[in-house]
Amino acid sequence: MSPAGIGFLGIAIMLLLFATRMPVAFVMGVVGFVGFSVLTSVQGGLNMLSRSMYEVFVSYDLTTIPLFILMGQLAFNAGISRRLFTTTYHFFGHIRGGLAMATVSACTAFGAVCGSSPATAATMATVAIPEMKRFGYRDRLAAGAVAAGGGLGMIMPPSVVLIIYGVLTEQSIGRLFVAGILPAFILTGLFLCAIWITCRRHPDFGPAAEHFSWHRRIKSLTGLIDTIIIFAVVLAGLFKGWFTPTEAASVGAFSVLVLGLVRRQLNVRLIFKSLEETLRTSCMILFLVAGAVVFGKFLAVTRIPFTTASYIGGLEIPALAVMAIIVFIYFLGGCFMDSLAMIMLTVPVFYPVVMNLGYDPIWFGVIIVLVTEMGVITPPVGINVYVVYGVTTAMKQNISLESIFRGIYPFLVATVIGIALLFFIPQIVTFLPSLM
Amino acid sequence: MLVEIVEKILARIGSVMRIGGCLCLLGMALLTVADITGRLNRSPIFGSEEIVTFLAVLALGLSLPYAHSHRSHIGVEVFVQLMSTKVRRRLKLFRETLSVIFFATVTVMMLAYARDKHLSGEVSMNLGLPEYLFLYALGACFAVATLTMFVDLLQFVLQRRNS
Repeated sequence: MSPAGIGFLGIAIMLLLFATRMPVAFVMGVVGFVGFSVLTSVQGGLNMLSRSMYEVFVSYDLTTIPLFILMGQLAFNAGISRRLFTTTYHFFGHIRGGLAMATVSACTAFGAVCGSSPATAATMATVAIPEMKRFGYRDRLAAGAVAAGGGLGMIMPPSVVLIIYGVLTEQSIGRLFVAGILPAFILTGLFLCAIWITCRRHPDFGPAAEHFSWHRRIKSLTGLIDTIIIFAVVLAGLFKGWFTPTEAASVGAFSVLVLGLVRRQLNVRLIFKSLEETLRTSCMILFLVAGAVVFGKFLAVTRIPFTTASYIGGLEIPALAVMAIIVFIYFLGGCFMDSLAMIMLTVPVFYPVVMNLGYDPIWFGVIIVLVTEMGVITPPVGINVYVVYGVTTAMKQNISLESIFRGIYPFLVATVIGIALLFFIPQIVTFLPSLM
Repeated sequence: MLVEIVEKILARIGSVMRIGGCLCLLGMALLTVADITGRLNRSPIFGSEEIVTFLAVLALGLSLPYAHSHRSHIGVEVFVQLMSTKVRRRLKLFRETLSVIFFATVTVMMLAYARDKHLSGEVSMNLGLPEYLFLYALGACFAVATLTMFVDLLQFVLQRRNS
């Protein structure tokens, strides 16, 4: 059998193993190792396995991931999310659907200190859903806003998915972060429009809540101070080239730690809780990276990525159509698979294709993060939906899964519009990095 | 009975490793900040990047059993949910066995890689730290994780037999 044939067989076996619920990282590792061994030698495969694993664990670039996750965990345990929601509630609460708008805005702001989408959704679910229920919001709007808003954490820097993309494709993580800012704000705006339109069509979905005077609104802005300081330090450091991404993440985590201790919102127990949760998540992510690296080496030996790239490059169809197909594949994959796993699995194949077509690598990174962001809220996997369901069930808020899935549709439409905007106006992504 | 004793010992080792991992992680953040502060005063910490990297290796290695015991690794659930309980159990047996074999292979190869580095006398570029020590440590962490997974598998098999 030809190397490409073995490669396709490996991919088929990998898909079969996924269906057994074996961890994605292990599947990629096993298939990559066996495939590589078949194509080279067993000893070669064994050596590649241990070296690839160790290279991932010992990579200085990847130390960024645990440190940014730590920053988010500390921010979560320090109650930053609650303060953000209070501020946005003061500004939006009085209009129809205002609490949902406040939730989405707070999600974007929290995404600026937390790079994880489920963590943002879980945090906001505990803070915002009881408030929205108190003011008579429909379950589908309340839970939909939290689940979809949580996804904004993936694109708003610091984003774990963008770090992984940067490491896999050897792109500057700082530039990727900066590229994510405008799309995140545009998507937030589109989500706010989606809520506004929903509440115009169904006024009973999101009744107006309390009205606050301008004096109280301005006073509430103090709730943004922590986030602004941390975001400014991290992003300015990266933008100006003062810090490497790892240093920016350390400074961010340290700033949250100090702010939490000064405000007496963090204690030893909460710090350890944050550290443990960080370790758990980081271990999972880095294992995924290690699995993807092993699998990537197998794919490289089969030459499938290069063959695919040259084949697609030779097709007589417009580059835009190829990109549309790739985006559709990401969307489909994102429905069944975790976004990180999906990116790690497919980037080695699609990245050469996209580069062959002459697209900007930073733009492509932001696009696929946005597309896979749709996956975190679409059935059947939709991790954010399950997170919100789990949190609301634990809080005895009784919101059905069906309500949450129905609630995300307006946000899905908004995301599709957002992706279309980035497709046709790529400068939205490339403008800020070009200033660096 | 023996399985339960081993499980308790492994749980104890796992919790000590978890605390070690937490301290390494905290150390990474604090050391980097100390280095930046030092840099501002024109006295950076020499080799801090290397230390941070090795601390990351230790932090992640030490968290392996903890991550496994909390079922942190992502899998595709959708298809398994459509299957009968009997098929699900068989699949669980299959995937856990395969996972143990995979982890055992990584453990053995990690230790072999450590031995190769030891024999070659390779040290880190700036501080001259013996890298093989970290590789042995990582191999040991993988060994504990493999044992933890193996004991879980054994428990599952025994439970199936008893039921």
